[in-house]
Amino acid sequence: MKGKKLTTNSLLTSLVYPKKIIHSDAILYKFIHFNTIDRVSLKPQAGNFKDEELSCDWNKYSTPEKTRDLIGQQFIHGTQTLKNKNHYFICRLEVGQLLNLDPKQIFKHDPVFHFPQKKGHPNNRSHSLIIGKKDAKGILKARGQISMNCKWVIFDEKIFKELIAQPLPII
Amino acid sequence: MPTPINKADNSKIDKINYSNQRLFANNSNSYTKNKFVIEHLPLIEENVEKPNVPLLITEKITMSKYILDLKYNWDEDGAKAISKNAYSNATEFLISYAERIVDVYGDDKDHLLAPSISPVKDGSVDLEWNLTNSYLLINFTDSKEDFVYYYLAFKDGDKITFDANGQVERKKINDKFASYLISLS
Repeated sequence: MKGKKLTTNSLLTSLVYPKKIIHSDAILYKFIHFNTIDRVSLKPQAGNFKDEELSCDWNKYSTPEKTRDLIGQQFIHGTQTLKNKNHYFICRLEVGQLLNLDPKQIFKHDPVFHFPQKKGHPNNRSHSLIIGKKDAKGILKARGQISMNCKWVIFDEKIFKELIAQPLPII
Repeated sequence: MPTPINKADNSKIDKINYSNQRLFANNSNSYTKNKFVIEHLPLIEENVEKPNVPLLITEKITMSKYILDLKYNWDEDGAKAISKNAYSNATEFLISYAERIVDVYGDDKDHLLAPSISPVKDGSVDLEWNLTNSYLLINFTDSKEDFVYYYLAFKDGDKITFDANGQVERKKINDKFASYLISLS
């Protein structure tokens, strides 16, 4: 039953939000939690880019503001509590700058759609993945180059400093 | 010895050996040692006197201690708590190289820039220099392995002119690697 349900939802998603090929001129927006920003240089830290399936939003269907708004509709991991979008800032990644990573990465459009929309898991036409090991067998190049290439599109130093002045409540 | 593991880049390693020579050329020790106390340096010793570590480095280590307070789910996305051993491995490595560079160069603060000391969601710790002309990332886990892995790049604007993956001994100072550190700008 579970498999059939997944297949049905995949089919529905592909009808409503058809998957498209991400080209080299695409820009991906990545959300950055305030705990993963350097407190002196104010740059996103490389630890943000470790996931084998790194979630981003494609600029074909999103904007930095939309990406941040969607964060506020997601559950905090393992809870039924919504994230506070003000805990996140947004950086941009240019796909064209990331084509020669080692190990190679795949850029995949991976839209999310449920009907009715599931609380904590918002529909997102722009959702995309950078797929591949980011520091396999000690090869840190992929993670390092993604970190080097990300640039802020939404960042507020004053708000950031207010956030780090008070620790997150224990969840 | 730092061992480049990206074979394609091995031939380029020698291009930055010039800084190795620079490292030993100025071994005069004519500077006055800058003595101060690092307060509550975690897991090494409390109130350790580190006479040869530049203030910018110790301040950065002090600022990074929040990492040890990060509990499970600190990124709201399931991140593990940071390993104390990983943090200790990273800060000890940084202090060792800072001391070595000051021993050779004196306490000119410009010889070793302070890295970002940052948490990774798998519980490990990164040292990261994300600079205008260069980039270095070293990852520390709580493993007792003798080596740590790094990625080093030099760039001209957005274009990378040289890069290499490699590994370096965690507890033993390697002067070639020290020369990489002072080449960062």
